[in-house]
Amino acid sequence: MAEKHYGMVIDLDKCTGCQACAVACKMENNVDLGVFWERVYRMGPIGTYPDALEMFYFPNQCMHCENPSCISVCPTKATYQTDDGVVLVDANLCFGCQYCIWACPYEARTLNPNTKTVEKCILCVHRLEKGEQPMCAYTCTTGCRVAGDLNDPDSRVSQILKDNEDRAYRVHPEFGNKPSVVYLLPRKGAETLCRSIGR
Amino acid sequence: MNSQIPLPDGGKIVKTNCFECHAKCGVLCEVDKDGTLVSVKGNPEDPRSQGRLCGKGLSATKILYDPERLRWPLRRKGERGAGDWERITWDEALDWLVDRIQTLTNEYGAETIAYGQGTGRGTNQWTARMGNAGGRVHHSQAPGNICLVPMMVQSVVQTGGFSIFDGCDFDNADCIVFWGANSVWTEATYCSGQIGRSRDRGAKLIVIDPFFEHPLAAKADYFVGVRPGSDPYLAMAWLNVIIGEDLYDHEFTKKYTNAAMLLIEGPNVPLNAQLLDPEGNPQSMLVFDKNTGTMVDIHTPGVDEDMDYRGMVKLADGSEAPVTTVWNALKLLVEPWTPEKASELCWVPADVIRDSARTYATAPSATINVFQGVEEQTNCKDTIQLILMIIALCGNFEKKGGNLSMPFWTQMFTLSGPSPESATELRMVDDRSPGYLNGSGNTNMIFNAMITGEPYPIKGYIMVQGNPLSWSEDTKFVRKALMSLDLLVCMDYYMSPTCELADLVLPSTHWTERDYLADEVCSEWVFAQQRAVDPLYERRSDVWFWRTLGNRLNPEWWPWETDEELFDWQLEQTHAGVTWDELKDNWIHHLEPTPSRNYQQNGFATPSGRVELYCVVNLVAGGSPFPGANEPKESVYSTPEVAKDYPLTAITGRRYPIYYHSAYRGIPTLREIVPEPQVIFHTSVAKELGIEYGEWVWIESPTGRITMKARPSDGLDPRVCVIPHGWWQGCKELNLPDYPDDMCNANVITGSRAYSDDFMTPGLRSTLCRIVKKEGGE
Repeated sequence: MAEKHYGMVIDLDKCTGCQACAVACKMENNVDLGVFWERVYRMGPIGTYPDALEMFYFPNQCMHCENPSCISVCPTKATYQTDDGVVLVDANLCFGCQYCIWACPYEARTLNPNTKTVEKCILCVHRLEKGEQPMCAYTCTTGCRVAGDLNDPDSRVSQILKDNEDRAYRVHPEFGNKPSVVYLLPRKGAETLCRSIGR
Repeated sequence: MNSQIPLPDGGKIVKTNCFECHAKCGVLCEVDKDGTLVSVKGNPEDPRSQGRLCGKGLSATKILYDPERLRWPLRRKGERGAGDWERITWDEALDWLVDRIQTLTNEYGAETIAYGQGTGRGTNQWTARMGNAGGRVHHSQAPGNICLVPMMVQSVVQTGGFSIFDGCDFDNADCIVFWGANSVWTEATYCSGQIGRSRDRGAKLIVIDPFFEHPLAAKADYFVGVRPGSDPYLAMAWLNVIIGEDLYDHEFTKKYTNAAMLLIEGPNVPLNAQLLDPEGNPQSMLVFDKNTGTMVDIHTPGVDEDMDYRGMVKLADGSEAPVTTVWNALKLLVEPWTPEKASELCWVPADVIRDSARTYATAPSATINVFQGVEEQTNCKDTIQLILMIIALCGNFEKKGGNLSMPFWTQMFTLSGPSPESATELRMVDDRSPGYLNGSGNTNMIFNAMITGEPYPIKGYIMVQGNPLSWSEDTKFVRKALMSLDLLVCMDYYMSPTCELADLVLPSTHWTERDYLADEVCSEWVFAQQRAVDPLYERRSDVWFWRTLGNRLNPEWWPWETDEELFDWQLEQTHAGVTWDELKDNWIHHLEPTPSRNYQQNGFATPSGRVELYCVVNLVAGGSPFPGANEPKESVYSTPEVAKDYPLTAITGRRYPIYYHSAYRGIPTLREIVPEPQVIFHTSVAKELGIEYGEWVWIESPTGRITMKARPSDGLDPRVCVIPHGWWQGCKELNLPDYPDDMCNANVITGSRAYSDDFMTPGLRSTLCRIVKKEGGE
């Protein structure tokens, strides 16, 4: 059987910016104040009221890239990629040089001011390994996020991607990182705003 | 016990319900072997939320163990508001309180005590029972007039049920309408997932809201950007399109509404049987039977009713009168309201009005969710009645994918007990609003009575989970009123600004520490909202407090020795068909649907047995049986002299998904997401005033002035602004300060000059104001 490739799909057409994922992440992973593994940004509204406007919410976290630019810059090999495609930081090896923060095109990493190490989304691997959804996806009030094995054509995440091929988008493709977090673009009215995510 | 699952390490999972908003989502609480709450997550077995849970619910451990929470009863030692407290026991607190109530009652009568609450989420009936048990009048010093009462009461009198709130069948609808409602943030888990699924299968979405930052606006097929408070024009125009283009459901309208009911043309009063015959029943409303050519009672079966009937009739007094039908009168009412005409007043393009109305009316099934954008207006009765008419004409009541009535709402009334006979006479209403359909007094008049003693003195105010300095209009006035009291008692989670002024502050349990029933806003289910942990410190539940205090004062009204006995009585009165013990064992119980779900057989619980387009109960209560295209009583059009200096129409009270009203600004994991109060107004206004993003600005109205940070946005009309409410609390862990002296309190600028005639609702969501740039040093 092929190796697993964990990833996530996030449907921007569903997300309502309720922030439940951001809070769930904090609670599940005991993330310190001032450190964010998961943030939801409001994009817009921009345009002319009332009928030429664009807006959507954009949940942002580590994209668990296939070609992560954070790994090669890490002087201590603290950042690494698991066989399942999840990008992690070994806090014992990290000494907080923050090269990875500069290298990451997705602003997904923060320096924890208390531990002086860099932190980010771990895709709740401890839950994935038990067959459970990451906490952000479990709690999502809209059901817009689903995680799973991208290599398994029968997984829910693969099915959703297959059914929504036309809207599937890996943010900032120009960097060549090949994110494993795939967004489904809003169904309508987001052309201008999508440029801000490299579209 | 099925609802508590033991864990191998000695801990347990407790199935219960969150209480951070009305939706009361099912949750799983993990408690360790030492009885500490470890985590909370959604319970996939809740058929409504299916495991989803919002940020408020997920923060339970932070809220439960927040060191800022109240821990034990505190009694005032120094001057009122000076912050000098002594810790006392519950026995001392209750003895002292009972004595104070009895002393004041002996001197001024029971009507001198006002009982109240904030958003009860299940205590409405017990707060009311306290007031009724006092024996003279229940003042209901609570925000019912701006939340729930207009929506629920108008629905019940017009349709016999309440189906525009937790009865929206989002999962099966072909068209979903949010009308002044942002339920995907406020009660996210009973609707957000459903809406996503429904849109995936092609359901249409219509968002009627002044603010494009409504989380569904950009996704909607139609964003209907209505001017705040101008909803009656829009609704009239929808009806104009629906009737004018023959898009209504002919069968439902004819058979299940009172469209064919006969009226005397002109005054538009019902032609009742007594007007034709002195021996006739004055409560018998008539229809014209095409088969027999006679006028018969509306309840007569097998009649071919003539909706279009017009004619002359000879009345019992010998005079002749022109007769018409409700249907004819309704057509005349909406005829002038073309989308073009409505557009001028509600600021929505005519084609958007027309197309959205067509989309709603032609959907095989459609549901409308209504909330406070519509309610917190002086013309709330008109809009709500019109929306209920729209639902009826399109045949969307009690239909799969439509608006379904839910059992609790029609059964809760008995829990409060009967109103005292003196209630009508002692109820405080004045010229600003007769309050036809709101049984309690005008809260502003009651605050006034605290200050002036007129029409009679209010000396005591006892509340649970209430913070009137946050919820009531005209905060400065409320503060003066509270300072004038002899007895102020607050039961709360935190030392709120209102608590600071109190004589007695009582610590309330968090939902994870208390047992109660989750039935309100739970659609067709009732849940055991059981405690996950024992109460910390000396916290007690609000229901325990009312029951125990009630038992001391009026044991004949409050005979229950334990909370569990009271729960059993509540379940019995609401015909839940389950006992507390059984419910606690199973956690969830499905309720029998309301009789009107099968309306073809049972009819609707109204005087006509049908959905009332012409609402006889409104008429009998003293109000108008038909809705009017009424402007808010204070607005850019109705009070141009005010608007000249205060040109912006402000919506106050827009929600955050992570806070509940004024609660939880002190929870750091929530506060770091939204750290500061921001007033939102159009980018062009900011440019004109030279205001940058993040700058502190003044917000001024004829009532007062506050300050918030500027957040210019493209997403609203330049004549509108959005002011959030509930900002008073600091956050120690994030070094964010309190906002003292109501400096950021939205209700400092809302006024008490105008109210809804029917529900005594102030126009909080259409407050006239202006934004002012601060000068150096301000």
